[in-house]
Amino acid sequence: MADRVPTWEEVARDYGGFLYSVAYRLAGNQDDAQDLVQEALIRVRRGLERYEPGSLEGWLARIVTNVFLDEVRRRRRRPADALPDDPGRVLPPTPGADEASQQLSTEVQVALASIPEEFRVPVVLCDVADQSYEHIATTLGVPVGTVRSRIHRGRRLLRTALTEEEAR
Amino acid sequence: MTPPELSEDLLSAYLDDELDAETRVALDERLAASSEWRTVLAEVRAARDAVRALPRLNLAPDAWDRLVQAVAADAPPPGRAGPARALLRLRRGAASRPVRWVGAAAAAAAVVVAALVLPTPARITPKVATFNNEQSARASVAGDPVSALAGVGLMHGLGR
Repeated sequence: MADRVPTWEEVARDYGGFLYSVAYRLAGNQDDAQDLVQEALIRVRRGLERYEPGSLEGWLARIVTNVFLDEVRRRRRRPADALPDDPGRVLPPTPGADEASQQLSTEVQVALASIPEEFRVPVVLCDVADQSYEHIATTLGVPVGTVRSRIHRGRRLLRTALTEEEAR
Repeated sequence: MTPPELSEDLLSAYLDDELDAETRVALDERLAASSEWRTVLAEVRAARDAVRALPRLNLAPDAWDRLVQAVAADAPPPGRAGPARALLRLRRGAASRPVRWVGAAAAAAAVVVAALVLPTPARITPKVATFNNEQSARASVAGDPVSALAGVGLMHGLGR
């Protein structure tokens, strides 16, 4: 698929798990993640002719991030539709995982959902979508130095949140 | 050569191998000398590893099939960009917003077209009032009984 532009159906089939994982880690719940993937695939379908063969995952990560940020802005304009800030709503399905690792995943997801999206987005793009700082900077329209400090701050906030979770 | 200025922010970039060689060497030296920085490095490494260890997720096959069908049914043909839309939420059974928007737009367009195409009293030629006045005047001069009724007709609703 690297030598040609894939169809959107191929993108959905081969990168659906990647898209959904990134969407879920950004949004923090299944319903919103599903919406993000659906809207992202619609944008993929419309934009495929502008896609230049290269890092498809990078392109998809950018699209789903933009969908997420658009939705965050829309919900800020309409507070009644605000994203849920109850981390307990997070229910990561992890079929096949043992109980201990599932519990750990839930704690990490809850901690991730608790940090402000300003820091969560670059952390997810770096550690879930495996994107370079330069690519994240392009996606977010900020300098690389800003990405660096946000990722670091995000991880420190995450560490604090995880420590608090463990203490409960 | 002046050593690069070091800030704690660089520790995450250090873990991610996002530093140039010179800064990396300087940071190695700082880490060797500072237990405080080593503690911070261990903390951000733990957070990074925790997120990276999260499992890859996927939708249930039936949910995924519904989502793909919704994309196939909803998206316009490739190359036709549409307006940015709010999320669809099809799985919750809500009508899609674009469909409602198109319906409202079509109704509004129909009203505008009707207003432009259908004749209004002001556009009927000759105007009823002018016609009536002319016929009444002619009848008053010529004594035409039919023309004389024009004014009566207006009085009883033809001009409403």
